[in-house]
Amino acid sequence: MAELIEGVNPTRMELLKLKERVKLARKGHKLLKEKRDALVMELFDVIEEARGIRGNVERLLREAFEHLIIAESVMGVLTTQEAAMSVEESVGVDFANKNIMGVLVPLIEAQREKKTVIERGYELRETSAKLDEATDKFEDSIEPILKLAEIETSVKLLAEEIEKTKRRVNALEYIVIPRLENTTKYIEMRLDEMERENFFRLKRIKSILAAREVTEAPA
Amino acid sequence: MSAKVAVIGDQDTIVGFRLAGIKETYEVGSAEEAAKNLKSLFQRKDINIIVITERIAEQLRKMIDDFEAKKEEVVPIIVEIPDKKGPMRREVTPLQKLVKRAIGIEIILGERGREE
Repeated sequence: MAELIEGVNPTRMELLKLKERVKLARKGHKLLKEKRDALVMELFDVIEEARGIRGNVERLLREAFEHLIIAESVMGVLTTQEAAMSVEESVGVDFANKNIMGVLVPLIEAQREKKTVIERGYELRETSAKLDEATDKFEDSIEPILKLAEIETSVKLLAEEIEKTKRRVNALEYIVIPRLENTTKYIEMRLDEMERENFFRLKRIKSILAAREVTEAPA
Repeated sequence: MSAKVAVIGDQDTIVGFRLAGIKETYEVGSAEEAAKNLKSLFQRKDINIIVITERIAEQLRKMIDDFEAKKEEVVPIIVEIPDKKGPMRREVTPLQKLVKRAIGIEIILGERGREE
């Protein structure tokens, strides 16, 4: 598990540097943990918003298809398709970005002129009123669909960011910090050992010198 | 900048969205056809949202996942919608899987009061 950093010299300089790094790693770990928690909170907010939107889209589309199928059976499939072909393009989207804790999520805005039945472009004399209703429903469903796109993308981006942050937090917590701490400990012990060795060496020399003085003095 | 919405789906879906005023529609009959259309849509810079029916998306799941993993920008966004046969019942949606992996709990998007 927690090993040492290879190739460190057990010196006081090195020890000071390592202590700085431990401090930095701890700070980074704390910050990342806070970021992760904040992101999770944001994700819950977005999910709360998303709840119901999918259901809403499903409901709107179900109604729209019901009307469309009736229109097709009244007017015939070909006439319906013909009518559909003659509708002018009127849907566009505007993109903006929102920044959630450094994650850029899209804000999608539908650009759509609300058209009256006459402005739609298909021949009213040849089409059934059911077609108008179907068109209404499909028009109404576009905005929720775009909203769905926005929300699902936000959830996706946030979830990915959370995963990334989580991995970093864990890497710091379980690998980087223990490794740094172990290395500091190793250096500290090594320095202590060297000090003891030195101390012993001095004592030894002192006693040798003392012994020599005793033997040399009478002479 | 205003961008466009494209739709890939079966005949009725196409008719419906054409009526609503979307011109970039691609009617597809088979998975290969859908894959071909989707691929060409990925290249287009003016299309920012691709609406695709769930049934077709399910057949192209691998391709969509690959694309989502590779794309660098946020767009184009792929939205899956139910077709005329109604929403598909799936055990877990791809989104749920992602959320579960990120925060470790399962959340059901959609219906109220069913989350765990």
